[in-house]
Amino acid sequence: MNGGGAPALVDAVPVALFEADPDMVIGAANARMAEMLGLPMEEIVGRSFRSFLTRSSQFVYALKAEPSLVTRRATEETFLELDHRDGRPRAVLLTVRPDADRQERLYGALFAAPERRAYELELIAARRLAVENLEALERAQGALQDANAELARLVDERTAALAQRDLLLREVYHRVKNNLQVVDGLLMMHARKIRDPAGTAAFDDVRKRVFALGLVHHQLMGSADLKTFDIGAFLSELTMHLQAGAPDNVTLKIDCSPLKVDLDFAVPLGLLITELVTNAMKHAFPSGGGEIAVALEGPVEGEMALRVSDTGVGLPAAAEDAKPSLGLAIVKGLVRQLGGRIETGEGDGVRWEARLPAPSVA
Amino acid sequence: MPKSVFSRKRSSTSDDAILKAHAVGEVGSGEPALVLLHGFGADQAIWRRLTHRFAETRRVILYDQMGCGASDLAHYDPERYRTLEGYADDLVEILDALRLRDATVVAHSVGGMIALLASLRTDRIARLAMIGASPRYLNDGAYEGGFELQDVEDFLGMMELDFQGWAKTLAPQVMDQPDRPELVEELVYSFSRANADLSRRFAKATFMSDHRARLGECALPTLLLQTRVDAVVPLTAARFLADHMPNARLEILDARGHYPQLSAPDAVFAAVETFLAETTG
Amino acid sequence: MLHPDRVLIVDDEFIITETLRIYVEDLGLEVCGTAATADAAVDMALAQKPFLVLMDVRLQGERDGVDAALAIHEQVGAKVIFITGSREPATLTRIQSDHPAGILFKPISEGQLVSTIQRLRAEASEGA
Repeated sequence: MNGGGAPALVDAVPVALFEADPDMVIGAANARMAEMLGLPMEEIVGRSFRSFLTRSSQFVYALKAEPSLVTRRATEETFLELDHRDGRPRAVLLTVRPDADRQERLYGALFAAPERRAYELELIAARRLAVENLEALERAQGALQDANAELARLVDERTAALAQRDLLLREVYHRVKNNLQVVDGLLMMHARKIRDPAGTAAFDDVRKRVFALGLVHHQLMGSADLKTFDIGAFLSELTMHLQAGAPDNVTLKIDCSPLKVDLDFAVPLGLLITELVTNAMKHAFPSGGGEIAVALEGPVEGEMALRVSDTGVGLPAAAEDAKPSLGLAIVKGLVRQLGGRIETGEGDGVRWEARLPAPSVA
Repeated sequence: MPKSVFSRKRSSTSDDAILKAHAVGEVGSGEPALVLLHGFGADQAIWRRLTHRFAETRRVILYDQMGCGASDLAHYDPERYRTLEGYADDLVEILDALRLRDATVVAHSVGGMIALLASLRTDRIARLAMIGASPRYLNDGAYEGGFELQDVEDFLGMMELDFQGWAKTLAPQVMDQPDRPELVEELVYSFSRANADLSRRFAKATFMSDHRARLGECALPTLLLQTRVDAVVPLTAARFLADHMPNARLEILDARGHYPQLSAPDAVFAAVETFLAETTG
Repeated sequence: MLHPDRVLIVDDEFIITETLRIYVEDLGLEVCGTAATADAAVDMALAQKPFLVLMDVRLQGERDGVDAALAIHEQVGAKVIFITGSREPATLTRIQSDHPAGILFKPISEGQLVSTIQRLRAEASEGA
């Protein structure tokens, strides 16, 4: 390139410069161009620019640079690889412009772009990573959606199953109560046929026990989970019923802190209280009235304390020698069933105190 | 041909959809109609120096191959466009939608083989003109396609390396806004990601293809135009086409490069008009 | 005019109607009939004009005790004591819609029934 007054500058710049005709046949080049190609100047001038490219770059050049060179006599920053004589391709960016006055004269520049490949590779890797992340995210979201749908389905299934279970439980409790009413009716009718007062009393005792069982199921039906209920409401209904069968001058008092219980605890407890109260009514007040007090306290250190006391005459002296009564056998059996122990003591009258493991209700 | 029977039954709604998906446009009037088919790395704008000249005496149809130019990428199906067959199906469907008869297809580069495949499955095409076409780009024994497998793989690698550059060369044509570089710039970024992948797939479908065995099936009058120097298609490949297509004539244009419709539009125009005069009427 | 001593008992369980009959008769009242379905209960109430109906909720047939009670309430004007094994909120709401004279839950005791009936009779004689 014998350009004007600054040939030294033209050869010193770190850019390959050349002049070409419209077919991109090289007319002149600077020293830097020879250096980039590893060729002497005489092997550069007069040759087609395309012939300096690697085979694949010729492809790129023909498809990408040529159409714009044909139509605009220009191309910008086309990424190509020069086929250097040492066999190691040199990455360059090709920019071509036509001479402002003479369109058939083209000026070209080749900028060394050794980092370009690494840079583009980084871009590609970043792009792939971004796409992969995006896809992973989409997959994760898809999986999450699937999981949510599955969960919703399970919840629906469970809800339906629970509703079905509730329906069945209510039906069962309903039938139990109805059947207990039938049993009570039968007992009542039989009791009326009996002339012996002791026999009538025995039937009454059984009916009280049956009623206690019915009350437990009544409480269960009213509870939200159909499994547990508050013992307080149950005991006050139970004592109200027992009071109704008691002489007017005997009063029944209940003192109970709120406690969530289930069937397994409430049935034996209800029967136990029925037994103890009935017993007190029968024996404590042979003449005149008094008070029967029922107290359920706790839990303290996992134990409930049940106290049934009366202001009556105390235990009959002969009780220890006599054949154990059915009532007492039931009391002991129920306490055993509840996993507790029971003691009797003398106060004003008879005082029963049972220690029962607190019900473990979630 | 079952394909075209099926196509005739298609509703006009789906015809419209096909035409829209490929940005089909037309100018001029007169039979037989001429369809201009672009090649790899271009779109219908590659014909800008010839379209109106051809349209002076006939109806001229142009469109963008799927994944190129203004085609609707929503219709892009990677499986369909894995080989050139999918592109040929597109051409057949467009001809059906337009109900063309006795059509001339002028096809550039890989468009040539797409047109050939299409002509084997429709009777709507009456003659072909191929510019810079090749039945196979890879060398194979005595056959000289011009490239070794490694060259093509390097090329695909370079394409990927410079995907923004590829998008940039196409963007001004797509946008038709060369005076507003900021719009072009913006388009390059939105366009480049999809375009890079699609271009790479089109490149693979193109440069890995081998249609030598199909050439004998096409007996249509065919004009083969080839420049003296074409870095993409060696003269040997053009000669192979001429030797194996029963009714083809090869004409060497006094021009260089792969894009004579840009660099030597007069020569291309004259050759095609002569061919049409010989083969019509 | 309703018969102030007549009681109609509606339940589809024989032992229960008989149990209730004994409690009612012990009070010196007359059981004018027992019914196991809602339709029979309404017919009987229309024919016998009892002042009180003891009504189970679950009955044989399509209509239940609440349906029967509403009809009896409207067509006869008798008071209704519901005697039910159910505690379901939906059932209770329906029962309440009839403004019942009383609701007793099975198993009921004689004492509960007797005191409820006595309260009703006292209210009736005060009103009269």
